Amino acid sequence: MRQLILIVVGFGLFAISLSAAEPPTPEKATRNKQTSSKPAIVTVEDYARNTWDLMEIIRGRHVEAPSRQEMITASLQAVGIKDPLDAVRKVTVNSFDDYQAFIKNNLSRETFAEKQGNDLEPMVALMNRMFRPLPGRMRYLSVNEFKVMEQFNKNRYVGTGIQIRMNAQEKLSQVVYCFPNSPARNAGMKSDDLILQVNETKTADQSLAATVQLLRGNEGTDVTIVVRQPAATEERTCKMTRAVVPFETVEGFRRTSEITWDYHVEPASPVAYVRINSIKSSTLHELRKLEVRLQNEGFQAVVLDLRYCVVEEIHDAQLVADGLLDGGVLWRVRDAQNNFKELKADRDCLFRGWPMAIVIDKRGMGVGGENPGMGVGAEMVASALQSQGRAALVGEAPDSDHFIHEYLQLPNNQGYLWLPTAVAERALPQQRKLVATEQAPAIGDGRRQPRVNWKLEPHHIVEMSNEQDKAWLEWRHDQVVYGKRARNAEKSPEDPQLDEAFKAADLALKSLRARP
Amino acid sequence: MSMRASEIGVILLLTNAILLPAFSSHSLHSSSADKNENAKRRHPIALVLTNGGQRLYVANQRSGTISVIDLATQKVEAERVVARSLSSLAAAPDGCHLVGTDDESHEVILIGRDGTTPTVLRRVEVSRFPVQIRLSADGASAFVISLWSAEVTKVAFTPPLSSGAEPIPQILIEKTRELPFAPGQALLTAKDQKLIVTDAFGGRLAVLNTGDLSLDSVRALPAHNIRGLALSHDEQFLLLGHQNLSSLAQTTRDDVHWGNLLTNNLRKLKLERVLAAEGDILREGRTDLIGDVGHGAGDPSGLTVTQAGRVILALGGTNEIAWRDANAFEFRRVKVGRRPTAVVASADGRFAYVANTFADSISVVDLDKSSVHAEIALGPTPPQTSVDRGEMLFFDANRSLEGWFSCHSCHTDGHTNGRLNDNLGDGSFGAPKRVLSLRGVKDTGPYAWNGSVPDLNSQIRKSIETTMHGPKLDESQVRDLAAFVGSLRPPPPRKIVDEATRQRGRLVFEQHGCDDCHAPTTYTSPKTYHVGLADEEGRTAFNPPSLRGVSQGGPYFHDNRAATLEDVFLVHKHQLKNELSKDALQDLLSFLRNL
Repeated sequence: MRQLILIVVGFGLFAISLSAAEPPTPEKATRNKQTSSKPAIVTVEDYARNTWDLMEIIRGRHVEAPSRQEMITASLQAVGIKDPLDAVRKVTVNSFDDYQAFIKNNLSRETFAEKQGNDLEPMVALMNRMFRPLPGRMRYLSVNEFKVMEQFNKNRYVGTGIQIRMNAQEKLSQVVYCFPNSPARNAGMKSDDLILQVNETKTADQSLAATVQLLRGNEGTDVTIVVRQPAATEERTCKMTRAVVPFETVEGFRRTSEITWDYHVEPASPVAYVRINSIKSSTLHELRKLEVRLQNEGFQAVVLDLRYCVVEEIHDAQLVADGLLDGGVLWRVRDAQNNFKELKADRDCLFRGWPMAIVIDKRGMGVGGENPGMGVGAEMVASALQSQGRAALVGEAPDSDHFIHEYLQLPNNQGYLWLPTAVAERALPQQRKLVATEQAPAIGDGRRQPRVNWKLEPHHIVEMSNEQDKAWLEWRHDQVVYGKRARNAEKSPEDPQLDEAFKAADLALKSLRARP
Repeated sequence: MSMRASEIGVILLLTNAILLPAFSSHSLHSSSADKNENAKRRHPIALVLTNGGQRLYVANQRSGTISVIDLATQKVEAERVVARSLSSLAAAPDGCHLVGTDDESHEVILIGRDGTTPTVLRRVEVSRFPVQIRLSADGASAFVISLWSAEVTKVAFTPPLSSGAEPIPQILIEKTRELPFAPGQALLTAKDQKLIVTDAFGGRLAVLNTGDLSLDSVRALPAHNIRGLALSHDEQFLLLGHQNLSSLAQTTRDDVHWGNLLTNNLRKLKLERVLAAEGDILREGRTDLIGDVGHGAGDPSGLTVTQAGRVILALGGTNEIAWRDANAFEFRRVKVGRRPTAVVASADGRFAYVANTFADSISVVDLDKSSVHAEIALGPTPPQTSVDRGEMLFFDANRSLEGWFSCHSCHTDGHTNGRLNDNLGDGSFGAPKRVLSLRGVKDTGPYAWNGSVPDLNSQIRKSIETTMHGPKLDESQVRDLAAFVGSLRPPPPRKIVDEATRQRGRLVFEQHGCDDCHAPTTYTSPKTYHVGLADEEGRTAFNPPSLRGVSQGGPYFHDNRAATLEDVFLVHKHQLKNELSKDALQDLLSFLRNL
């Protein structure tokens, strides 16, 4: 269903869904990263050292830390040792020396080297493989990956501002879209351009990842790209300087130009449609600017679409929830020490007095869908607005583990760990109480507390079929990049969730108007 | 119309008979005294247009003078000392008089005109630290708000200031009313039946009946540093220029850059809702952002509205004015002089006259052409001292990333906006803490809530470079800022209590060992203590804030958990050895409020 597109930014590559940026999962990183140069081999000693350091950090900071035995088991599984639990059970590991000796006993240098594959950064890949069976959806990022991730989250991407994909027929990377006002656009690059050369390097037969590596660089550095259109023979040389390319995280319903939106679904309706494709540092600011515009355009109610909304950092979700709420509790978080913190909104809110409906989904939010875990922040925003009686929820409730992650910088410039350091609980009206339930206990010395299991409860449960969901994603992508299909599209696809949300907002608005 | 000079100095005031001080007779063009006066910085802070827009009267706070500018020639015609520190100025409806306030001598001043030269006619003492005066349309009454005493005073003019220059009106104090906050701005509305007063530091707004000064309502706005207050041209809305600091945002580069940390706003409140004693004051209102990413609009200050609905705001921190026409979407902006704080518009709305406080000048801005038409110097200025330079840095929003805010934005006028801020003062994010007053901090190191910063210079550098993400300071800039901050005296107590009560309160204070941590004479101590409080990150060691001027603070504790000083003891039982009797509590509170 999904078309893999790479967006080229300063220091690396990102797979994005048809509609929203998404960080690379270990699988994707493995699949995408192919290069002709031989990657460095991780030694058994390095592997032991790194995994031990990570295990110690995880034991200290993970809100529901797995036991050391679980992690050692995972570290062996990561390098292809089948069923290592027996070996782990037979040994007592209390120190790094114990662990290193155990690892050396179980991994011969030769088999270990064979298991590493062709990853550009094998240590990163190994660590992420180790995390896969462990709770909490942890991720290990190299310094460069983190840098790119941070640029994404803070909405200050540095690069040329293009989306590219591999043209299998031509065996060349091809431009899908040049973002408006990007260095690439300003230098004359166009959609469908085939990339022939980056600086001095020809790109024929280069992998997509390798081309991305060539395109990346620091803000203010120059890059020269030779391109041609698929049917043309004429080559064009585009010179540009890499720069910050901000992306909009807040969208309307239908593009009216490459940089403007129409927020109407129905032309005469006073209900605005606002989609948040991802929550980043810029999102609250974008919403503030949008509020003034929607007020000026005469809107009086809003449908907020959070489907497939990606949130990397819960802090940004807090700011958005705070911005939409006029005080009240957002949610509670429990940390590794079992301390609870209640997050409260400041006074003042956007769209004051406007009825609001929020569209949620089970595919792009929560932990099981297209953006595993990336929608938890959006889910918390929806839960906060529902708890405070601010918005009606429409759609399907996602499954979620409610882990709150943060990036921890690892010592000695080893990279970053995206670690669940807290669990979120929604705020509820006082008459309802959350009931904690027992979790499966951790093996050994793991730390798992009784856990409150909760799920969003939409006011209006409306399902989308897979076909409807696919059509919706394609429609959104067309709108974002404003290609030919978007310009020619007369009708938006069927969207029963959106229909119901509009009905709810419209009804609330009529009821509001009817009040004396 | 003008006053005879011989009348000055022999006028007895009705309520407070005093001889006019000698400094009131100096004028710009008169001999040797001028040299001394000209050697003082002026700091213009208020403007009054008279004579059909031909003449501009400029209130200079620091020199206590009024400068008179002929707008046709764009020259200063006269300057005269009228106060020790002139904190506000307003024109009487009769076209003959001006009224002002002196926040050093604590007086209202009635000013006439000798030709074009302002002449003090009468002075009368009002509540301490008067900062603004508002005249009723009939010229019969004025309302004076006083900052540190947190009071409003109603004065009457007999005959009203609407009947011409003769006889010289008497000034009568009619009534004084205590306010629940230190006031900064005031505005008369509803045919002068209501007085709206806003908080000088935080975001509270009170509505009073002008007849008996009874309080209709006091409500909190999501705002601080409210410096502009005006009615919309159709009088349907109350407009406020202010800032808003988020307690959830962090002082990271990104939260500053995206305006998540602090916004500069023009807020419109439906006047009907403001005047209603109950209900949601924010409903039907709207908030517009001034400034944008990459181009912050630090410290909205004076605000005026033209007859056609053009809204003009001074941006004190970025040295600009911003304006927007009635139905326009975006603000336009233009650079003026250093620290614009007050603005008035010509009758046709084309020109804005802007008081540049630190530049000692007036900018004339052609709003239609978006350009500065002229900058009128108010006179020679002396070389700057280290304190002067530090003051300029303190109020300079360009010391923060992209001009979003200045030191003054949170440490309002060196005091505090009373808001919570999540910065690295305690070593990590996650536990926002109350902004501390800087008044009197010279003697109260170490700094930060956990006392982790040993000296003022280090704290200043950390604040500018880490919290505000501003350009790096050189050593002389740090010294200048330290000199200015060091020159700030502790806030004076809101109430002066009698000695006997004070002594009884002191005894309670000592009996409970409050002075162990809050040791006289600074009422703090350098160590950190565990006093049963914990922040959201579990930290329990706090350096005690100084209690000097504690009556001007509040809410209390690191996270504002105690709404009032009473709550510190009644609700939170802060370090009490035993239950306080009602009398003992009152004595203790009186003692504290007198610090």
